[in-house]
Amino acid sequence: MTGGIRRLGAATLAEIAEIGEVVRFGGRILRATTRPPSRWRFFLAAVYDAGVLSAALIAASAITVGFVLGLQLYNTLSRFGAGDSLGTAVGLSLIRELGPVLTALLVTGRAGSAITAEIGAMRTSQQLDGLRMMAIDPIHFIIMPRATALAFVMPLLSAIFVVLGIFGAYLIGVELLGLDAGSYIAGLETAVEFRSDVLQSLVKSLVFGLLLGLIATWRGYSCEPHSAGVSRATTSTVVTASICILLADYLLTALWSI
Amino acid sequence: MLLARRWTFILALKISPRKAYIEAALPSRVSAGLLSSAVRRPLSALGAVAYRVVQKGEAGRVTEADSEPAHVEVRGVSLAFGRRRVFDELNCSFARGRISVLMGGSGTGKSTLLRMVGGLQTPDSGSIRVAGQEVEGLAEAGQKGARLGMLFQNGALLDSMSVFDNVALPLREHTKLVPGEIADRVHDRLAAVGLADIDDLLPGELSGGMLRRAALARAIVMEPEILLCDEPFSGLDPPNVSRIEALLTHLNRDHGLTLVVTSHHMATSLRLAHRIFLLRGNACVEGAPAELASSRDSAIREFLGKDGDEYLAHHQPEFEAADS
Repeated sequence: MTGGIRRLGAATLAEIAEIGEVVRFGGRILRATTRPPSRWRFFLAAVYDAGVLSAALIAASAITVGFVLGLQLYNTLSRFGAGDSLGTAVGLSLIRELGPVLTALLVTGRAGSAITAEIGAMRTSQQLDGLRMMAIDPIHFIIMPRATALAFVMPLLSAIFVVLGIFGAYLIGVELLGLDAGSYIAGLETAVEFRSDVLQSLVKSLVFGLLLGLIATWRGYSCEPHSAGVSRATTSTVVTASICILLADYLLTALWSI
Repeated sequence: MLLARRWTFILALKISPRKAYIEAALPSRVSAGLLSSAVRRPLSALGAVAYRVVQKGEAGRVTEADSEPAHVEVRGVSLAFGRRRVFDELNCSFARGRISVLMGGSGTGKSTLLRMVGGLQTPDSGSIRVAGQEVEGLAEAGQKGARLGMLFQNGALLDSMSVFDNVALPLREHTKLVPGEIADRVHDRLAAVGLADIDDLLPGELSGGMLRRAALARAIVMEPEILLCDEPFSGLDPPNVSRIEALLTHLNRDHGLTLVVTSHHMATSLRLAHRIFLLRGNACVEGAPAELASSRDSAIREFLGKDGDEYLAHHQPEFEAADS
């Protein structure tokens, strides 16, 4: 019993200590963004890896989610004689929730895990130590461009997701099920507001991107320097980032509703 | 000199007569003139105050090595990983312009000591000074690249960059050289390590020996005073071992670099080293290669194995000549 409590206490303290380390790590990344030289080349390369190479996955997922939403919502709304509200329902659910959250989860699986694995492999093969020996700060050279790239691409990918999701639902609702195109678009235009919906969506995406950037780079940077350690860090990135994204989504939604 | 040696010998015995790893005997120069070679060999094998045990409380002892100016000084360094104590108040120094080879079994802390000298690992206590300056202050003072270079066991080249970009990286980061000058310097260093026309290759496309040499080119491109080499010979075939050995010897002899090398490669280390530092437990036993090779300490003999005997067989005359 005592041993169990002691272990629980030790685990809790370790978690608190790690949170402190992550916050300090985030502070170092933030400071690195203000320090010359700029790392535009590495930033753009990271944007390409995390953003451009994720675009196809985001597009395919968005269209599919749009199909499902169109079909499910149309069937449900029709029961109450509100089939014409499909545009409104699809627009609000995608812009406020599904777009940012699903994009963040997909990017976590595709780019976040890759960044953790890449940085973890660099740590294992002493590339980060090599940089330190050349008096080059790995946070500035390796971490900062990747973390900021994730924060930068997330709102853009989320916007792509929302637009293609709405288009997917349009194809199902209007082209397949025969809903009037005018009422679909009009419902969308009427219901969606910039401040409460679009801005909320962009802010959520940005926060998710920042969270993912921090978690993915931290896990790689602090992983145990062997292959099993890299594997654990990669898994941990996906799990931790997914939970943090969902929690942050709830918090942001609640704050936005106040 | 003879008097000093005798005094050191007596002092060593008085300070720690029970230290099994201090071997002391008559200096071979005494025996050289007086005794026949049949007698000289065993006496020489006793060691001419061969080793210094650098441990807590014994750092101040005057020995031959202390007369050389220290380029790197490790003073009272302790380090533990969890419950495992790697160093307990370790003291040693690496002389300027010499090749010092760190040896010892697995887990004795050779690479860890090298990492601490490179500022990659912070000791729990104690200080490490490079050219009189604390190693932690070197990076802040912007002198790390100029003072220290490191050759990692697996090269540690950035695998997303070409060989050229890897070697050029420190120059781009820390100098104001124009691209043409950088290219000249990089090609010069690559040629010096016997690599030409591989600018665009990625590290993953190189063989083990080429990778190690490319990493060496990067380590010396900023013309450091001290080169730290972590297992530079491991995993290489004999021709590549010879090539790396020749390069390191050349850097030391012709450019005056201070080299601190960790190695398990016994024969090569004995040939390469001016001084060998044998890490055992928490202590560091130090001596010239011939001195260690002629040791009667069973643990040292076991560690050096037949390479020690072979070295001694080939270098005994040099050892004795140097002594006289």
